[in-house]
Amino acid sequence: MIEVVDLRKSFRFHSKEAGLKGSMRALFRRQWQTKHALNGVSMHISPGEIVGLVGANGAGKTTLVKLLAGIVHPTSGSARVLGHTPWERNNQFRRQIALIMGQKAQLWWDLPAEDCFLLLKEIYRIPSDQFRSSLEELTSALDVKKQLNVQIRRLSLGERMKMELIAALLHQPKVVFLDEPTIGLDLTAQKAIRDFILRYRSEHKPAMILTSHYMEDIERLCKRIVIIREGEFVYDGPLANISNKYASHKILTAKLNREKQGALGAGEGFPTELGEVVFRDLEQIKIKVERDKVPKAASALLQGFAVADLMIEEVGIADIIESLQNEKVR
Amino acid sequence: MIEFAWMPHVFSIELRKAISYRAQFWIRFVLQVVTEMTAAYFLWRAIFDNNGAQTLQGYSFHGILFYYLFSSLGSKLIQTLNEGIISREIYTGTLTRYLLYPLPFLAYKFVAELAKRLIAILQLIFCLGLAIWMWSLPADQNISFSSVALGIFTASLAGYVYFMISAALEMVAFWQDTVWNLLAMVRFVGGLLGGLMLPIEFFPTWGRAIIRFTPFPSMLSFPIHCFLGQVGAHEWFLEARTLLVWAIVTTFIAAWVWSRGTRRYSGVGI
Repeated sequence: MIEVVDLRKSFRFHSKEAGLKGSMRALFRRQWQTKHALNGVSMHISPGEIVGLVGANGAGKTTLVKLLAGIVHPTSGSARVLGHTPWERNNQFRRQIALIMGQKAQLWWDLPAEDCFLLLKEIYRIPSDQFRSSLEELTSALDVKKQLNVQIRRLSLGERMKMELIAALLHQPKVVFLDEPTIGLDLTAQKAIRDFILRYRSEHKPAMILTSHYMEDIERLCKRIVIIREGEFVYDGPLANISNKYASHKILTAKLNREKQGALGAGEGFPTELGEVVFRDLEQIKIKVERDKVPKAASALLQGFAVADLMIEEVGIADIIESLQNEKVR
Repeated sequence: MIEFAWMPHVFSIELRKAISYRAQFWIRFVLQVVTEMTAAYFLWRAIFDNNGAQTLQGYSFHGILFYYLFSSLGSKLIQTLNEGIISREIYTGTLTRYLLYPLPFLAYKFVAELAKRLIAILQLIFCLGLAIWMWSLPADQNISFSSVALGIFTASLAGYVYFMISAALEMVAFWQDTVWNLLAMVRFVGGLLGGLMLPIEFFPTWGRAIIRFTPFPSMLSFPIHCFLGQVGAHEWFLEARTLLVWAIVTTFIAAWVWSRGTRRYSGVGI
């Protein structure tokens, strides 16, 4: 459904020194810089798959989404989406995709949402029956029926985002690009959008690419993630595997029985060859342990401390991803 | 294949948008017409009084007032009414929506512009009626129902050419951050060379010969002459043919600039 091979995109832009002197100099001679937003990325996405694209600001996520939606042209490489080259922008391709950008309104600000939707009905040539049923389904699911006749610019951010989602999905696209759809929304609105996306996906099965800085979006919605750093993919695989692959440690947390532990005294130190104590007081001890030493470390804890409860946790996915984004993990 | 189903909707929506800003709509309309007509009245009153002539270059004082009435109101059918929108959309990145939707961008923008021009036609008819009621029709001009209809038709054709020129210039925003100076220059120079500020009959012969090489006399002055009933069938056919050629040329230029420009578009902005 989506096939990307060695895709590259560079942007050339001019820079200007600060101050009047810099402005005067720029009048006669411009300094140009080139940013390589994508450095030869390749991927394949199957029908119905939802892929989370994760990376720091400026990593190249939005550039990749814009390329696949046909908004920008690549510097080199190839991509096929539904059998089309996106940046050729033929109408058959555009009728089958949708792009929702959390940071950029695409609806007409001066118009009520319903007028926008009616215009989109004509633009996408949606049959009247399908339009009515889609609109009913989407407005009910997102609970915005009462706001249909309000001008877009008068809606709250959350309501506007819901309208953007409806506008993008009215024509039942086969590929949906979601670029930070929950950015700036409060927790309730974020959850509503996430729930809606999950429900929509299970009912309509479009392929989806989601970019987000909120790990909850990624964890709730995506089984597969692609981590992008400085225009290159550093991980492309199941979200569930990321801990096994990159987290060499687990965290053992023991809740201590305060009275018994008091009788035992401060206790002997935890064997350093089994792990590193990262926190300790009379009620709790937290130890970072290599994966293969977890059974021995747990046993040592149970024998040496008055353990009331023991938890073995993976290092948080968010922490691993953050490390991958920032080049701490290889 | 060109699809038309969306056009009436875009037209209707743009019409409603234009009317919904009622205060701006009326203030802009009244201020522009009143200001331009007042300036023309006092300027030409003084010229005719000082000169002592009954007519100048074939215009009586009464006739010249109607020239400026058509210049002021007719130009709204020709010159792009919302200049700067396309360049702003490129600059701010809101152009993205038009790249996503399966419709031709320039056609969409032209249909949106047509809605505003329908309002301009209604304004013209209203003001013309008011002027005829106040001053009666000038004896030295052949203003009639058919001349006004021909003027509206010719102005609409000229409006297409002007739109394509404006759009091509606005799309320079794909390369440059600001294109306002280009648009202002075309509006000012075009207005001067096209006879909006001064009928081209008042230009020296050599000046008229030079400006014939630009599209502005056909685009701006010619429709005004149609309104005034000064154009015969043969002359109209020749000028309409010239406009048609300009329409084809400017369409190709605008389409080429769009095709090249969108290759540079990055979709970034505010």
